[in-house]
Amino acid sequence: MNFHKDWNQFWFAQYSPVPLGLCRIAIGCFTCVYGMLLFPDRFIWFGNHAMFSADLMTDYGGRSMGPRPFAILSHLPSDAYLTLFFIVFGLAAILFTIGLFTNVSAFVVFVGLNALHLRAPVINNSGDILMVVMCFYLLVSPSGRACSVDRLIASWHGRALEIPRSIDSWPLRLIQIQVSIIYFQSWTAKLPGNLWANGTAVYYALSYPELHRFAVPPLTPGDLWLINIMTYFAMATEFSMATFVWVPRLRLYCIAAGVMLHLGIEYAMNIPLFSGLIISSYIAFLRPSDLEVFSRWVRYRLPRLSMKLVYDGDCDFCKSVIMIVHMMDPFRVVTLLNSTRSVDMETVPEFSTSAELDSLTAIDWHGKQRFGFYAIRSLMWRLPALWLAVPWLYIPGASLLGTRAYAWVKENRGRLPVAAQFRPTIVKVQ
Amino acid sequence: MKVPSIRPARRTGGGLSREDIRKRRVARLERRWHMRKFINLFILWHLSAIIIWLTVQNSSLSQRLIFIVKPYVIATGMTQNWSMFSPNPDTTDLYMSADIHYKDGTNVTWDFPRMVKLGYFERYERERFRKLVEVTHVDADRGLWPSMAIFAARLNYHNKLNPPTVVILSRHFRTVPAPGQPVAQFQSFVMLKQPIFPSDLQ
Repeated sequence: MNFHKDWNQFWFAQYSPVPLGLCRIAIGCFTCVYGMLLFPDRFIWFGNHAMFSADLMTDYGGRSMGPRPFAILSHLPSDAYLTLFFIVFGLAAILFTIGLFTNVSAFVVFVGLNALHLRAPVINNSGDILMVVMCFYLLVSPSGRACSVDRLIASWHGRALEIPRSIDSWPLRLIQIQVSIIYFQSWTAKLPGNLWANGTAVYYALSYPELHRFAVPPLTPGDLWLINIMTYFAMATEFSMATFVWVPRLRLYCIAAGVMLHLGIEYAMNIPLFSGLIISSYIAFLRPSDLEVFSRWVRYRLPRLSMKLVYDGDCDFCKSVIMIVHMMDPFRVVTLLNSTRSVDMETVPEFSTSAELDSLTAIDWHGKQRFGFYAIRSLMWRLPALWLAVPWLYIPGASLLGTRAYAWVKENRGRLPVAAQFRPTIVKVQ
Repeated sequence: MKVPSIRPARRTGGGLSREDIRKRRVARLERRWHMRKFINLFILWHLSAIIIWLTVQNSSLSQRLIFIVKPYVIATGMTQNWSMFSPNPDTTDLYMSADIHYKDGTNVTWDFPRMVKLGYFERYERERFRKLVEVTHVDADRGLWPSMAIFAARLNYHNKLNPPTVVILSRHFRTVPAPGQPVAQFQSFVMLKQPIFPSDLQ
């Protein structure tokens, strides 16, 4: 055993940045929701005439605890600034989620979360603390290296490779260790509890009316065996996530147990965001091969998702857009076909009968062809990053506008910007 | 003369000698080595800080070390504690109410939002009030009660000619019954009688 070598292997092995990118997206979504949940009651908790004054909350948090560089909400000149704060925070959370200006937006989100927590520590729950902890790890790591708009922009400008550059494993390791620490402390803190020891703790947790969420079947003394199983399952899962999750063979089983536990909590108990956040942090335990297996599973199980997309191979703008589409297709359900390559076109014999040969054409699983705007709309269903935009394309009038916009782009595509790799290079000849 | 080419641009070491390229590589490796040293120190410091912070209640050694790591933990918002539902889940069903007495002698009772009385979405959105009651009902936090009473007064101040004059803050609790046991009645205790002044209502 070579400690130095093992240490470097553990912390600095080269690793795919995709799990970190996915983790950023998931945590980012929850920061957006967090902002939205707090916004309506912002003046109650954080305003100048809030329930608790800033001074009182500083005393409550412990004035002598140490420096609080991010306590910016304690010195607001007026409540208008509070609304402005939430707008900036919300925008930063969105940018952080999509990975645009990732480093800056991660910093703004991190500062914003700290500011909110320091202004009203009396209402903070475990989910809030977990959010700020995860944001800290994402802030100090290259979380925008994959699954981000930053990466799409870099690719457009020719500064990124098709496969994202690998990263040192230490940010993922820190998140993994943090998750294990959470479970380890949670588990050890329960050990002295007699209700956990006798297997009835879950009964009390589920019977606490103020924490009720959705209906749970009534628990009677006859169901004690079920309650015992649930209680010991919770304890065993917490112990596993602290220990066995580090055993490669058991990793996925532990994660599955953890997901089950937290989905159960999310269903039965009203603890906002915590379950989603902790499940998001499990992504750090996934390997690129796990994601590849999942991607293959999606392709195999949902063949109706597959689509053939025929584009104009002579058009540099089209090729640039197709490059972006390819990068946004994690499940590889879209087969890209160049209309100028006979090999590609032989795979879609029905295409030759089409009347709109020069439009982007999408051919779905049934062989149905869609052109132009409708091809794009159909394509967007296949790209998870664009799902939020899809409903907007179905509102009345969107088809009319979309068809016109597509026609304009088609007409002017020779003048539109193209990705660096398709730009003609100027070569000096001496 | 400039001729357009479709070949993509490729970055080369054009114009640099082999010695220059070697020096650049060495410089890059040195930078990386220094970076790794810094990251190693950060990892050790960060993990030590968290572990000391989390074990502070249990060990006297940690209590001595906490002063070293506290500024870092507080500044970064890493004030974590994961002892949820422990050592036992809370078995006290609890809510708080405020009796608001007005100038004309009338009074109303207002409950701090109770999750059991809210719809699914509202319950999710206003869960902070549950947390507030859970945290502040204990006597150790009695310093926060006057602010809560004044908040209740402000929220129920609808008629300028008839302002609230006194708020009585109460807590109501009962124990969650053991399996098969009947549900008990709430017991109520007055926490605070807070006089309300006109300045409190602004």
